[in-house]
Amino acid sequence: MSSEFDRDESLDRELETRLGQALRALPERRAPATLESRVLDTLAWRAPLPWWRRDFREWPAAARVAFGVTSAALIVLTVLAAAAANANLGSLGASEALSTPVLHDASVLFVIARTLSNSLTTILSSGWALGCLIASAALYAALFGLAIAGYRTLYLNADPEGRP
Amino acid sequence: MFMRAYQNMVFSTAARLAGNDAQAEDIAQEVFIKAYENFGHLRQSATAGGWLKTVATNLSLNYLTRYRKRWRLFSESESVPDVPLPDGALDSLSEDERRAALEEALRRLPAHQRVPLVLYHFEDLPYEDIAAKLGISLAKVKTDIRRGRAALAPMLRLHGIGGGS
Repeated sequence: MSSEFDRDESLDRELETRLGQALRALPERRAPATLESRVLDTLAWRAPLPWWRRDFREWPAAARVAFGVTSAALIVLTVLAAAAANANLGSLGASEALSTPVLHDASVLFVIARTLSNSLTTILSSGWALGCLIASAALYAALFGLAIAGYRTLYLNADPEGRP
Repeated sequence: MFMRAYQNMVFSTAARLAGNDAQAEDIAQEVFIKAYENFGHLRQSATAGGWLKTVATNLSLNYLTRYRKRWRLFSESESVPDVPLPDGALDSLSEDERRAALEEALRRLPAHQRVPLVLYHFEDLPYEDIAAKLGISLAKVKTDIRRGRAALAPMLRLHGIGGGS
């Protein structure tokens, strides 16, 4: 009984040794040709974009504040500059004191623009015109939002390998 | 360059453990993405190959564990499929064909035999470490490896080292 057990043990060890040799002699499997491109595509897909190319909500807080302050300052400056130019050129055009033809023509154009804007203000003060304008803006915003949602769903969230 | 140097080793490790080339490619992809994340110290490291092999092994085992229930990976009741060996044709096989036949026989082993066998013979892990990694008893590891060897024993004849004894 004991000798039979010893023989089995010996056979097991011999099989272990020989099979181990045969398995270790196996060459490495060749990796698929697609592996490298898959890895590179995935790395490119995962690479983080610089902050200025990401969604505004992901910008650093300081950058968002600076952007807001700069934008507000530019808006204020533009409005003030337009108001100042309107006042100066309008009065010059009305007084006909300009001797240079170019400045004279510019002042006339500005007076025309001011007149147009006054007319528009009058029209918009009526309810239906303002309603039409708001409705148009809302439709435009909805279309813009739809386009963004489609772009994000179909393009940004698409798998680079085309998997669902 | 780095990837080309190691991709066959990583893929082989994953393929022998997972027993499935498509899944091995997924695992190898994940290994190299982890390598990229640690490329700073791997690039200069002399042990980069060992690191990659360890990660490939661990990811393969994670993968197998994740699908353990579906595959009944460590089920005692899972039967060993026969690997038919047509007697007459074996002697005429070339060396490459014999190796391919052994690789195929290994792949066809049930996972609960193949995985500990690969960890023992390819990764040089002792029985105790295999049991700890797979979360099974030492006795079961030994039994599964012994049965796996027995299933592959006929293949040794292909290699001219007399497995039939």
